Amino acid sequence: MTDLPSLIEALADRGVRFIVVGGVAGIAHGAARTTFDVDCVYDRSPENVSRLVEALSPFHPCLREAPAGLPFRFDVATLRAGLNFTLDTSAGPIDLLGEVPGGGDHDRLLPHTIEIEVFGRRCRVVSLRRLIELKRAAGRPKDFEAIAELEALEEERGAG
Amino acid sequence: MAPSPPPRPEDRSSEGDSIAEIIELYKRDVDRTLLRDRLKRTPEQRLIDLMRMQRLAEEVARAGRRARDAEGSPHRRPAP
Repeated sequence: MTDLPSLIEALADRGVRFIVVGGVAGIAHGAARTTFDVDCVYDRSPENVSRLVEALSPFHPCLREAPAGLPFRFDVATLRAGLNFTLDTSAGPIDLLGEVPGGGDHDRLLPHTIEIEVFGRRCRVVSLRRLIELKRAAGRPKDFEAIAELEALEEERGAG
Repeated sequence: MAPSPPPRPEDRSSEGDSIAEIIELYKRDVDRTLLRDRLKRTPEQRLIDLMRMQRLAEEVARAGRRARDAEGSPHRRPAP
C-alpha cells in the first residue's frame, strides 16, 4: 500500500516543488480507479532536487525492478544525471518525472494545476483537463479506458 | 525488408480519429453513478479510499499466493 500521508507530508514539509499527475491525480479529482504508484513531476532546479533527496531518503528509495546488484544511490548527483526514476520506497512506489510527454517539465505544467489540501498539507495536482490531455498525448492503449472515465468525470462535474 | 515510410499527416489524423472513437466506446460503459458518488467526497477521502483498495488488493494477492503454494505443497492431502 502507498503511504500517501507520509509521502505528501515529507515532500510538503521540506518545501519540495512537485505536481501529482497520473492515476493518483485522477483519483483526487474523483476517478473510481485503483493505482499502485504515485507519479510526481518534480522541479529539477538544484535546490529542489536537494530538498527532494532530503525528503525521500528516510524512505530508502531504490530502483523498481532493477536487476539485483545494480548500484543505485539516491542522491542529488544521481537525480541531476537522470530525468525520470521509477522507485520503490518503504512508503510505496513513487515515480519521479522530470518531464511528461505533452506536458513538459514542472514549470510548464504549473499553470495547469490546482492546489488541494490533503492530510493537513497543501499539494499541487494537475488539473483534470490537463490530465486528460497528458494521457491522450501519451497515446498508450492501456490509458484509453482511463481517458474515457476522466472525460465522463469532467462531464459529470460540468453537469453538477 | 525495406523500412516502412513515415506516417503521412492524413494517416496520423485518421489514427487520432480512431482513438477518439475507441474512447467514446469506452465512455458508454463508464459507471456514472460511481463517479457521482466519488464527487460527493473530498480529495482526501478519495485518497483514503484508494489506500483501502490497495490494502484489499494486497490481501487478496497474498491469499491467492497462499492458495497456490498449498496446492503445490507435497503435504497436501489427496483429493477424495
